[in-house]
Amino acid sequence: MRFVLAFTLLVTAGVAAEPDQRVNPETGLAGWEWQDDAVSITFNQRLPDQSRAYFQGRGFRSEEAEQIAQSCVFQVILRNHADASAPLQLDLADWHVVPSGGEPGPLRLEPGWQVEWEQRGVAQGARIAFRWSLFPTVQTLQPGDWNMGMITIGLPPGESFDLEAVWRQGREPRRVRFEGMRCAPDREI
Amino acid sequence: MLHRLAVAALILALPMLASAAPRSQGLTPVEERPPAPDFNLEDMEGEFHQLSEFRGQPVIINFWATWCPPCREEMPSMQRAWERLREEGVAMLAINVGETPDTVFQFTANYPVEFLLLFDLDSAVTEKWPVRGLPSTFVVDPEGRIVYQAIGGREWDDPELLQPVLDLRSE
Repeated sequence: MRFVLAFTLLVTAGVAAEPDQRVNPETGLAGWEWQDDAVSITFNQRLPDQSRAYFQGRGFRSEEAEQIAQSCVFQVILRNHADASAPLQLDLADWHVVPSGGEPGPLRLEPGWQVEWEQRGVAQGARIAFRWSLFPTVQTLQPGDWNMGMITIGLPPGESFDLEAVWRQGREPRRVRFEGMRCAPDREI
Repeated sequence: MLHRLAVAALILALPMLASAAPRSQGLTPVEERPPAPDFNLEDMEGEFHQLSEFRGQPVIINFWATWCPPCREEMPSMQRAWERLREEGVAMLAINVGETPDTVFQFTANYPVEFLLLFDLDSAVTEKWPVRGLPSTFVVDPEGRIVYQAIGGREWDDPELLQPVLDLRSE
């Protein structure tokens, strides 16, 4: 009996730690999701064309929107649904992108983009929209809180990579590796 | 053997049961109760409003933008909450981050709301508040202190969610 219990616990722990991949039948875009009893993380591909349209609509010039579109944009949804008082703290600077056959590197983060936008004289309204459209670099989510935003992976369209997401739940460090993720290809919406 | 299989099946099902359970939504108490940063912002009619105008009553302050999907999603429930709260001595206002009144005017054709909409055109007020993402909502007590916060959308007409706000009137 003890063996069965230990085995099933081991199996379920493995199931809980495995991100789930699915494809939206209407758009053909892929998404990756992982959850346990305290947190859920979802990454959804965004087509380069979606990013072009979105950021031009927020006041970016076409060449600037193109630069974002070519940087592999994902939508992230992160929920802290822990019952106990366990705040979820994260800093995207601690996350790693591991390109297929390449070395781990950082995400391209919002503060770095802002330096470039300022140098290129991007309109203030566009920079404000960019700031609040991207997933916050540093944040704390209390139980019941959730957030949604974009991240830029910094790879060309169609590239494959693994993503290592890390955070802290209460005092416990957490880490999940999303394997076999892929930037959306550059095709029309 | 059947007993063992049943135990194993139950354990295997636990993560799925957990994910199927309704997600909690609530307000997080802000223990240190910092003073809420005041502002002087224009509404849709071009009139300016300061937070200090609402001193003496609880105030729900929502930071949002029309391009933010969860912001749009929670707007109808905020309107339903407002229909109750305006009779109860609670103020509600929504500060739009970085958009023009023209943009929001078009938005309200599809999302009609009657609570006060204010405009933080350059995001300067938003930067002074502890906003990390949109939507973020804060509850300010009658003394002008931030006492609750909620990051991410909520169903604002949930009576359990609103009760702590109503309770602030008698503190």
